[in-house]
Amino acid sequence: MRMTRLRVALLLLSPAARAMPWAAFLAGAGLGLAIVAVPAALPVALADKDLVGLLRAAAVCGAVGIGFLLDDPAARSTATVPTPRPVRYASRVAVILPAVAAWWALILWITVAGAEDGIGATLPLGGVTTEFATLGGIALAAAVIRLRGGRESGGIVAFPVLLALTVTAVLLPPGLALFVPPAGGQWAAAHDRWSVLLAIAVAGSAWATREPIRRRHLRLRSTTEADDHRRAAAAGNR
Amino acid sequence: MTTMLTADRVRAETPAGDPRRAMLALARFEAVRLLRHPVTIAGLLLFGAAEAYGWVSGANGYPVLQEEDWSKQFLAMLVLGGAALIAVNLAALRSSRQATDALFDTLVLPDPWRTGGFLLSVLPFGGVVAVLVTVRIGALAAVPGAAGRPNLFELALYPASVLLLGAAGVLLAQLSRAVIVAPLLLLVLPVLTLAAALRTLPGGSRTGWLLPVSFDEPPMPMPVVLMARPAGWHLAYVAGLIVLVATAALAVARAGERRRLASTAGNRPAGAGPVRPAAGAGEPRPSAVGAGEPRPSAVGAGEPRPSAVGAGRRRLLVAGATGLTIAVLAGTAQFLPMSDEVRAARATAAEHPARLQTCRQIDQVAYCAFGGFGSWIEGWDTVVRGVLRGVPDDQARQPLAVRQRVSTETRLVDGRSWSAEEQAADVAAWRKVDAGAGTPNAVTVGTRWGDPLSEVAFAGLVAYEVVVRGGAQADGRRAEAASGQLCGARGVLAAWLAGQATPRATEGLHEADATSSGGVTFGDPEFPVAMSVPDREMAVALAMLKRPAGEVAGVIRQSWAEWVAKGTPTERAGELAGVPVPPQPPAEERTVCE
Repeated sequence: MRMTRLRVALLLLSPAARAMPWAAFLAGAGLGLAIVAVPAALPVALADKDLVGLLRAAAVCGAVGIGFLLDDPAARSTATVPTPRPVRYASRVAVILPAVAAWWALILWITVAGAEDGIGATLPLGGVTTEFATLGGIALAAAVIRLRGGRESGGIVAFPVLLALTVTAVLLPPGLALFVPPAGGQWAAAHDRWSVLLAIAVAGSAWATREPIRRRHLRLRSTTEADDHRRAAAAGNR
Repeated sequence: MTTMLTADRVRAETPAGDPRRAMLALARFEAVRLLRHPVTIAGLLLFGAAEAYGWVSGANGYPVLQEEDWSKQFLAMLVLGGAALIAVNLAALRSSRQATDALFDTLVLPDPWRTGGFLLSVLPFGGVVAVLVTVRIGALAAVPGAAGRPNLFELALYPASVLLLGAAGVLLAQLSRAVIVAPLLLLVLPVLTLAAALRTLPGGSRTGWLLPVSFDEPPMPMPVVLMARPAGWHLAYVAGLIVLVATAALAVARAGERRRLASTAGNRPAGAGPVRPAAGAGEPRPSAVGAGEPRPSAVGAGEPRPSAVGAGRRRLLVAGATGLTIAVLAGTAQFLPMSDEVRAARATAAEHPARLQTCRQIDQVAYCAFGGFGSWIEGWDTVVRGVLRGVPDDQARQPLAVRQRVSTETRLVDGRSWSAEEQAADVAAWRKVDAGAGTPNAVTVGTRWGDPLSEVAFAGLVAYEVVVRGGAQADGRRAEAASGQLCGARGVLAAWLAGQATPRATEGLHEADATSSGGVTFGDPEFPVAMSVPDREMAVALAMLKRPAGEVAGVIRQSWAEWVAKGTPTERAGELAGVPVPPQPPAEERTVCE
């Protein structure tokens, strides 16, 4: 059974890639690129906290775009196909992950290459990548939860959620801060919090991919139908 | 033919075919939807939560109103303006998202009027923001420690930025059917605003005034007479932008409408009646308020009437040109050099601060505060009394002066700090000014108050003056370094006096100690005067703070002369106070005492 699902997911890769609404993601990704590339191209010497700030802005842009990648204008029809919802999402995520990873690698490379005075080597890229993964994960989780209702666009809910969470994260008091400056003792503790959020986002996404139609109803109905048949058969026999 | 008849009946039943009422009805409906949109509610909650945290954490005890009026503009633009941008954009795109665009062609309200309705729907939210901001500043002004006065132009910028972003949401919906464009604009805005605030950019931090909200921060709050923020011009600039953006939204809607009509007319089979009853009904007044002449009924007209079209285009052009002119003129005026009065006042504040200040004597202490800051004197006095509690009575009874200072230009660009010579020269200049004003060796207090760090910085400078003066009485001369460094028993004593002054000063001392390396500096980094105490002395002082204050004060009173003598070592201080003294750090980490 599992092998079959895997094979279906693999077969779905290319149609999924074609069906995904890339325009929104490309808009977000392009803006993210511009945000890091323009200062990198200009001869402006930026401190590490400014570069990390730019990476964070690019990460939010990318995450806003990611939120739209699960959109499906044909959601109402695809809800009825035999391929289970988790498999359909898995095939999309299998396309999203490498694309997003490539984009993020490009962002990091531009930032490091464009940094002046050798600051590029000192940037905490791992931590910033955790932040981006969390933001992307939250966007996907919000989108998947929205799509459970048979809606067509998940991004339309994902991006406000993402922006609200980003502003909240910026406003958090020092004890709970998430966007902390790279220099200073809070980086490790803040990134523990980021990792927890990432785990919650992944778990939330995984939970939300389950088919929202409750199995109990189906079983009840089929039981009732079977009972009806049995009763009808019994009546016929009589 | 049937269509024509129906259309005629519609004309007979509709009073004067005025789409203004329909537009207002749409605006009312959308305004209510905007106010209860989850994004709007989230924005209001975020703004409210940040504000509530300020009140709960006690940060609003001594607000400077001319600082508070603008300091939340950036946050308001992001969360309230951002909410307006996104919610209005989603509303304007609702018909496109739900594929009901075509249905609107059958309604009485042509596209430009619908756009006008969306633009108007932002106004009530702008009103809510105005009320919110008024209540906030009113609450801050009612705090007993409030200083200064707010600027109405700065306050008006809050609703203005919300209106601007709301209008931008409508314009974006006209330009692109993609939902993602509005959030991306919202992400670009803070990046640009923060980038414009970088002082390394050409033009310094002033380019930010071309954005809806500038991040041009002075180094510290200033008395009103010294402020050079072009608040009025900036508000006019944003108002011009609002008109420009709203006009652009209407113009784009109008152009789209005409294009669609032209293609519909071209595709229509010959003899068929008009597709929509209100086709080409012109466009609403471009400005949101004001009266326009009643529009001629265009119901049943296949093509827009040339005169109506011409008048509409003219009105749009006039409005657009007005908005553009205001924006360009006011936008340029923001960069005018600061006025001569402000320049003169700033020079006076630096050279003769006493001329801008009023002094008040409380017992033996004279407090001189800039205009508007008089309400802080009680707070300063509490700290001074706290410091003096720990010194012998004859010392505490000596006259003391406290003078408020302000720095209008930052000294700390790019992490650059002062050279020792610069600092010494500035300290000498300040001493001269103080002596000239009749308050020699006045203790410096800044224009921030109420937070632990400001309180301990002031307490530290008061303690420094008391300790140095005590030493001068004993051996006849003021033994002090320009950097304000105090080592040995004097350092321990001054740090302890500062830390025990008030509970908030104790908190500030721990906070300053936690974030310092090598030693703790008391005083605003923008000021030349400061007191610094090396880590080893700090450790003894912190250990003394753990003991009962009365007991330690008794010990200090008994051996005061020894405590304030320049040569008394830290070990002796620990011995007198009965607390352990940490060993000397390795030679390379040791602070060199002057």
